[in-house]
Amino acid sequence: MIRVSLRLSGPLRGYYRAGCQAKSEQVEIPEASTVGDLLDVYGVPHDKVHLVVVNRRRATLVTVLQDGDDVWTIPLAAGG
Amino acid sequence: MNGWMGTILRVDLTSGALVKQELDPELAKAYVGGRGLATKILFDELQIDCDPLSPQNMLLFANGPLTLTGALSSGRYMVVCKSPLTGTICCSNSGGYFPAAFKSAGYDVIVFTGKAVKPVYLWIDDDNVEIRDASGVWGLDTRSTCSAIQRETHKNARIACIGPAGENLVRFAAIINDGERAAARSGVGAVMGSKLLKAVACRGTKGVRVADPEELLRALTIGDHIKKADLGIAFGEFGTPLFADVMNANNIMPTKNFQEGFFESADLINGAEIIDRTLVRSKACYGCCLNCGRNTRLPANSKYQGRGDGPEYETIFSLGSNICIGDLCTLTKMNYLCNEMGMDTMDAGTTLATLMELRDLGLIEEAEIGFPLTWGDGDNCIRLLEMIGTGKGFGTEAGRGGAYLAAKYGAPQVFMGSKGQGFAGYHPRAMVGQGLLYATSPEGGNHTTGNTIQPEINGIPQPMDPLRPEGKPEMVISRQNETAFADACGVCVFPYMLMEEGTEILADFYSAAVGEHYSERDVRKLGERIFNLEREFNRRLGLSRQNDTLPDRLTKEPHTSGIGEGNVVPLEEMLNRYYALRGWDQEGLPTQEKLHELSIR
Repeated sequence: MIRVSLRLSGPLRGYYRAGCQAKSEQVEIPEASTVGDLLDVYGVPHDKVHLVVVNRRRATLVTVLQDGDDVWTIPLAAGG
Repeated sequence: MNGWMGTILRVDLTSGALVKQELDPELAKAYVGGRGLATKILFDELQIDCDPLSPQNMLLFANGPLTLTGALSSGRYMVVCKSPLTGTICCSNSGGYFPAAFKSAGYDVIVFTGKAVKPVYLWIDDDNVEIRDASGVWGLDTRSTCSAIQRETHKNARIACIGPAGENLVRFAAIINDGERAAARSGVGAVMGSKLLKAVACRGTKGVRVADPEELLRALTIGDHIKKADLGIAFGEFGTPLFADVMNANNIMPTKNFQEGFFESADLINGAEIIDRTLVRSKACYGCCLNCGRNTRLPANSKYQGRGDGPEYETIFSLGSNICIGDLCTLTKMNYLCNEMGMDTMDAGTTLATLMELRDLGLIEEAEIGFPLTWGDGDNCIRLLEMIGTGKGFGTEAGRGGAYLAAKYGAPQVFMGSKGQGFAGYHPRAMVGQGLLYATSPEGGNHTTGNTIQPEINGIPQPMDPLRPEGKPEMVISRQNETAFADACGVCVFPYMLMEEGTEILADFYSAAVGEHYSERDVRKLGERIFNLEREFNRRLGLSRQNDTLPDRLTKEPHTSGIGEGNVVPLEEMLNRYYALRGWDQEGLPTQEKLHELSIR
């Protein structure tokens, strides 16, 4: 198992586990899991995620995660 | 006239003369309204070399042919004048409910000239217009001014006014309407203050005639669709503060005077934090389905107290990350203060950031400011903002803005803006198209003449690499032209920006309102004409390529760690292509052929 940190931004925060008050959540997942696998643990529909950032670099739903990774998911949003 | 009310109201504050002039249909057709029509009037009539704070400057309020029509988000008005912050053309716009009242009173444009002998306000009650004594409200903050003038006029009057900052000629003073909304940028509030014009109060009961009401009713269906889409839901729930997450994740949230693009404490000042700590309710402007406004109250356990609107994302960046304030209550308090004083939160933040960096460089003494001013020091930021608004102590100097201070203290490169106006909250080193947009904006470093988030960050309509210059000049020109047209129509760009086919829909609404068919291509051409007219205005002032610049921090210093690490903005390369595509020479001046093509004289 590996341990990663997941941050669900904006409306996606509704998918945090019940009772989570933190800005991000630590989670254990099997080795070689992808970002998509991690989102499945939380039941986040993949089409709700517009941007994935891992360790402050652009990533995708098929990016394979490593122990200690910081995963950030962002919905679609416009500027103003 | 369908779409327009057909009347320009001219107010000579020197003589007190009020004249109602018929709107020339040909002029309206050529320049639409709002930003376009007002700029054309200014272009034709202003003594171009005037001091922006002298009676010779003109101040124009303009709504557009879609304002009040039922088209999506059709409650916007524009303020146009020669800016005291940049010395260039400017257009500052705002929503709320004042714009609809202004149009329903029967006017498309109000042109203010001259200077009153004593403080006055203008009271427009449909056809009845009078200049009234404002001695009793001079000195009041914007919210108190609104209430007092409503008591003197009508409880349903909608008010646009200045606060102490405008009276004290702060170069980034705003005009605040409905107590909270701001035509914030470029110092339009100082121009109003220089004329001793405290407020404009409007009450209107007229409707606007449109050619095809059925077509405009389509706005309801489209609005409903937007509201139910993911983006619309997110917009309504979080408002623009949602962008704090988006910008920070993309490494484009300007931090510490644009030294970085990532703010460690952004989670403490973002949209979720507002919902959890300060939100009272979300609110919408006239005719809008999005509800992106935030009405907030500071919690009882906060160091500061107050209630008002905000912050928007731009304030979260300018009074938050860019000066390293990671506390929502502190930055919200500063937002309230700027609204009450009537000043732009964005250039207020730019000014603070400039001073903090000047302090770091040892170029300004603490004694000169009167107290320490360091990154993240909320108490002293609040103290300085109060001094700026009220024109006390060092506040008088600081009220001249960041560009002035950076130059005065020997480090012009410290000012993060262009043409004297501070940048918006998008770091161009990791989205270089935004850098080109800042540099070429006729008004300086703003995001209101277009922004590039959709194409560069969201990849809409098609993905493009935010770090590379390819395709950026074409994209920036497109954004600038479509935004100029939207500003001329008197609508908010937000809902149109959220739809891939937004400009086409806007063209349909415009056609339906005025009763003549305009394609998407036609309205882009109208936007291009307006943008070129602004460029011509600036040419008369001697501006050219040498003014389309960015600070070395953006073009020479590599971006910090994260997305875009090591990147800089390749401005000159993009400018060459941008000018060529615009039909301008390499000095950035529209050619005679281009002016002829656009019928600009």
